[in-house]
Amino acid sequence: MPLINITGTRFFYINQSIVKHLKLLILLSLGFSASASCEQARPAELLEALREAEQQKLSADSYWHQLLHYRRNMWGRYRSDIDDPHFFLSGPRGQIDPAAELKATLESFFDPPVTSTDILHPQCKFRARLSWLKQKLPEVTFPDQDCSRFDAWREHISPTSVSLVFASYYLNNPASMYGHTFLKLNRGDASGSTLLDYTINYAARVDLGGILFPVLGLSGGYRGEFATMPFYVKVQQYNNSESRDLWEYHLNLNQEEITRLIDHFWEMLHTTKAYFFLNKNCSYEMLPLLEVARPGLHLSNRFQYRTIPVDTLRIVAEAPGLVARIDCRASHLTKMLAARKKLRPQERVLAQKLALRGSQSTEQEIRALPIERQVCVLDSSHNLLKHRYGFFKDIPSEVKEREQKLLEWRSHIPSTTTENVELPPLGTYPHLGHGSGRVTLSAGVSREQSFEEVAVRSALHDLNDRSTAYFRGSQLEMFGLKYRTNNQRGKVYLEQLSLIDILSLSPRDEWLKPRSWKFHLGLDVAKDLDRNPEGSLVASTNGGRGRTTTIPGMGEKAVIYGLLIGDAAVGSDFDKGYRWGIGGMSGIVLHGSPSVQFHFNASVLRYPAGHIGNVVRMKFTPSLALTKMSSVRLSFSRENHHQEAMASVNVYY
Amino acid sequence: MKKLLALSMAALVMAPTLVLAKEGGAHPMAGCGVGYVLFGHTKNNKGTQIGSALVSWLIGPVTSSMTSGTSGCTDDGAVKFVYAAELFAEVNLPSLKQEMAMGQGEFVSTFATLLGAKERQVPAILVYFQQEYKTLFPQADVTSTQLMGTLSRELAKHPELLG
Repeated sequence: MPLINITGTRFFYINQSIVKHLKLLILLSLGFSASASCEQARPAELLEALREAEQQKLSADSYWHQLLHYRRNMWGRYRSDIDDPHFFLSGPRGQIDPAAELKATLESFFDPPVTSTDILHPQCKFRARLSWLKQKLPEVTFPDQDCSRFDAWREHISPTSVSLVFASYYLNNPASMYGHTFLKLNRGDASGSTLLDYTINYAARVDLGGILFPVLGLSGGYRGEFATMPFYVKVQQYNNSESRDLWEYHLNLNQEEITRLIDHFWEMLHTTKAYFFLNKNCSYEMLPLLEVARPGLHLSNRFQYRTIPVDTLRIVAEAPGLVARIDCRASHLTKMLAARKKLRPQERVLAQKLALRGSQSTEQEIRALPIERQVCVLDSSHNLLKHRYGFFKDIPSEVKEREQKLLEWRSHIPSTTTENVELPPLGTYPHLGHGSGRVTLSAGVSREQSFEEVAVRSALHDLNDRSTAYFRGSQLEMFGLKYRTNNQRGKVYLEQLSLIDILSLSPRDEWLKPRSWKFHLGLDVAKDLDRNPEGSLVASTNGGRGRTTTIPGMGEKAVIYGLLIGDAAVGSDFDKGYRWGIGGMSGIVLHGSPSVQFHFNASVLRYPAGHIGNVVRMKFTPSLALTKMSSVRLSFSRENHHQEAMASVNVYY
Repeated sequence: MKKLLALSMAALVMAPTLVLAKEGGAHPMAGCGVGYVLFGHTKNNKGTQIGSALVSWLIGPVTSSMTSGTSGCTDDGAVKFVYAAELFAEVNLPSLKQEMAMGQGEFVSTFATLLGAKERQVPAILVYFQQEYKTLFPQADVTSTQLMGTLSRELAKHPELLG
């Protein structure tokens, strides 16, 4: 800038430049002193903690990753399963950066104290993190923060041991064979009652339902949340409302492990996650809690894509030294049937009449019995009444009146003996069933070809699989794929893609009147067309309803069933590209033992529309389970003129 | 005795709110997650029932939480001490009804301890419940609130049971 004084302008510019530089100098020096004083404002203990944490590489510790639910993807990047911003103290970055989250956690533990109980100081909100960091940084003095809300809650919950509880299947709902699990925090009540124990539950908050329910549930559209409630809530829900047995797997966690579990559960109690019905569901979420309790347990890794509750139960039951013992709390239905076995035939009839109709003559007959027999009849009658009309549903007023009369009568008979219910026999522990998935290798012949077949079934159980710990007469197959090779023509083709196949055969008797039913959806080869199988793949669905009864003289070992069926299929090989029809299906299932089964099935369907015609199908399948995880079977089938025989080996996983 | 007084006070306080809540459809005790049990799926519309039935068919019964109101529970889900007996009676009423008539059972024994009975006092209380069944359940539609009200009145006449 020339120093020529021309009307003062240039002097002004020179002055402006000097002022600008001076300002910059002042700002920089202020900045330096500001940052210097910020460093001074941070407590020395915090700096010490940050330094020590850095040195020990705590953010790379596997326990830190477990507490924050970090998963490592194939590119080595971390991402937490938890997507709730309130869970991360370092903001959105926390979900993908364990180091940033550790730093922010340590810093927030030094936040000014909080006196209100509505807002939780980070030390009080993240108890498990605090405990672990205190243990790893013993030289650091963390500021004292009163966490009375947490202390009161913990005092109230006060577990002495922890159990994993499994709700098993219930009548006429094959999908309930998947099961459900939750954790129970046992108080060790002196009376032995567990009703007041608290439970750890994870469930979806369903605020928007309707037809979107399956879509939102499968895609993480609902928020999953943890909750705690007394065990008696679950007993009413599972044992009574749904009539499911509750199996309690007592875990031998020590007090330190229980403390870690409770502390981490408290952290999760104030967090939500996206709920995915198929994998990150109620049963999955119990596993990280157990892994935090006992580092070294690897339970959740194999459940990234599919979590079936009974599989999580198996992995816990098989973890060395984790399960101490197993108890069963029988469902209302199990207790009802056990008590019914003790009634004489005439007493059964009287109990049923009293429950369903109640008349003077019935009452007189019961009153004529000895007192102890009256008690059995009245109690069984009440059991049947509750089974038939439910516990919490709207009950008709005349039924309520009948129940009132029955209970008033019962109250006049002093109590003498305690209820003694026979539990399901040993050997039916739910974790003893075969694996949920199955791979099958088969070889077979038909009139036209010899073939090999490879099949994979994602879940779960058919009538010929070993029935131990599954519900006999219940079939649920999902996502099954079968490929065949035709040896004569050297072709490999899709034999079947089964999306859903359900068959529910529940035997009827005078007290139980379930309707048997079936449903199928998938791609199948229409063998009755007598064409090359690779060209006869059709999309088909069918369903039906009917009845199942036991065969007299064979007890529970054999059932016979009959269903009315509707069937529809679409395929380019059909005349007009489709067909639909109705007909009937009948069959016999024989259980020689849980490992030996025979299933014979025949159906006749008349198709009056589209590809018109009749199809008669028959199939006979004897099977033998070799071990818990393997079985063999033969099958002989025909569809109109097509006949085939096949031998298969199954391996369960 | 102290427990009995607390019980009566709680029943008096809770009674009108419970009645009003039932009329309104919301339930003040549901904050501990009991809403699911008491209302099940009946509160959902037909669409949700079909949707959840579909999912139940395929992947098993789905648990869902329905929370509303927390006056019986703390914000963290623990049952407040003074409401322990009320909540127990509310949730377990059908089981209590049966076991009080039978004069025995796990639910009625636990209930007796929540009312303040020591373990050695429980057998006598169970006998009392059975003998007074008609007083406690005079008609078919007795609610848990009514039961708690009757109990606080009747137990006051028999201080030896809980004293």
